[in-house]
Amino acid sequence: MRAFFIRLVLIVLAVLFQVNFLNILFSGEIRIDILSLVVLSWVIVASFEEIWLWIVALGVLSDLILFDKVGVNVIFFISIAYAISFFSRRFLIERKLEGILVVVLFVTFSFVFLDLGRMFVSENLSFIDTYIRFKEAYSSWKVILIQNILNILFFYVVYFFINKIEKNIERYKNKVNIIS
Amino acid sequence: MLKKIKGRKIFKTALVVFLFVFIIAINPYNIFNKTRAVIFTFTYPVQKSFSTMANKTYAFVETIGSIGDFKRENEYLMKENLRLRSEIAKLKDVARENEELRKQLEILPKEKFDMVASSVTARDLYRGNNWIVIDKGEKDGIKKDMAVVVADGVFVGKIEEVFYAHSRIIPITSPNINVNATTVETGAIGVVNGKYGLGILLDMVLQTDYLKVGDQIVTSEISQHIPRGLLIGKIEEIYPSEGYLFQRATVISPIDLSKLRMVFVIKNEK
Repeated sequence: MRAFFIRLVLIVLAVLFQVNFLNILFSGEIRIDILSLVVLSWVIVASFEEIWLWIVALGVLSDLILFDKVGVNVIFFISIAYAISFFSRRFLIERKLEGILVVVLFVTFSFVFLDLGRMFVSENLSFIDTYIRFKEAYSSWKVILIQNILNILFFYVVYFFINKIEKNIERYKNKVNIIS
Repeated sequence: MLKKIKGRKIFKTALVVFLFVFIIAINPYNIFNKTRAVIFTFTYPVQKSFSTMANKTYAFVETIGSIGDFKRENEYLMKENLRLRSEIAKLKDVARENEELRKQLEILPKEKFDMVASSVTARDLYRGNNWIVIDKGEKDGIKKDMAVVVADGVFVGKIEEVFYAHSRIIPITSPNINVNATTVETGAIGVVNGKYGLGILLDMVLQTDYLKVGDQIVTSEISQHIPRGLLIGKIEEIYPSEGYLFQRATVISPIDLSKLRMVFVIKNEK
């Protein structure tokens, strides 16, 4: 029950932090997508089997608060979660240099994938309009670079928190098991 | 065998994808809209705290960033002061001319509007080009389709959805908005909408109407709920539509939507 509430608070805060804090603070060309970072970190820290339903919940809540069609973010989040869980077994995030490169790759991939998906599905844009919008969003190398650096920095912060939370939940579960 | 398949990650992923593709296809908007309203009501305090924090952080970062510019800015302001004094004299003349123009076009001055001030509490991922949420709603008398302006009477969008303490605005840069507009100098009539966050477009202007680069665009009286004479922007480029049936113009707004922190909703004309 405690794990349930902790995870519920986590997804609610993540979505509200994105919409009410990050989207207001970074309202220029640079965007931070903390939701994809939560998915990314969660899959790396816990297993896919453990959190896939929570990723669906995160997607539904994001769709509701982001005024998207319900299902759009769910599909992208679960696809990213699957892809990351598939690859993260093969790469170790904790390994210094290799780990950083993998994180850069994962963060960039999920950001671009989600961005393209949202433009195409959620906003009902045609292929040409998606291309125009995508070109506009990724027109400056400086913006792409800063955006990526910030997203990677945010990833480590999110990863740190989720790691702590999941370890806490794990400890609590073990304690309950010993008592019972 | 079935149990083994069900336990596989790919099965769970595919199941979720198929289920939500189906939900997207049927899109039961009314059900989700009610859920959305409940969530917005329950999370109001957290949303308000986050947006206040964001606005304060933004203001702080802006102040820090401008410290180095203070000396340069002071010198500039002294020069600017002198220049402005001479400009005041010129402007008095322009003001008189402007007043005459207002009378001719029956444009309402902003003092004649009953406006509600509200701050931006949320925005979409794309610089607020698709929607913006403000902290005033049903309880403050906000209704669907009301016009939203910034302090100096510049039109920024209209109310799309009203919740108890929040409202969602569709900004002028959104392709989902259609506002009737007219040019101030030539009186050409058209429809203004957004270009997927890439700017504003004045469309459906008859070939017989005259458009001029630099001409100002204001809302026209044909728009329901939106008062006449709210400034939208000025024409930057003119070109014909496909098939040469109409004229089109790219419009530049005087405000940067991404920096929008405070807006006014026009409830009615006094």
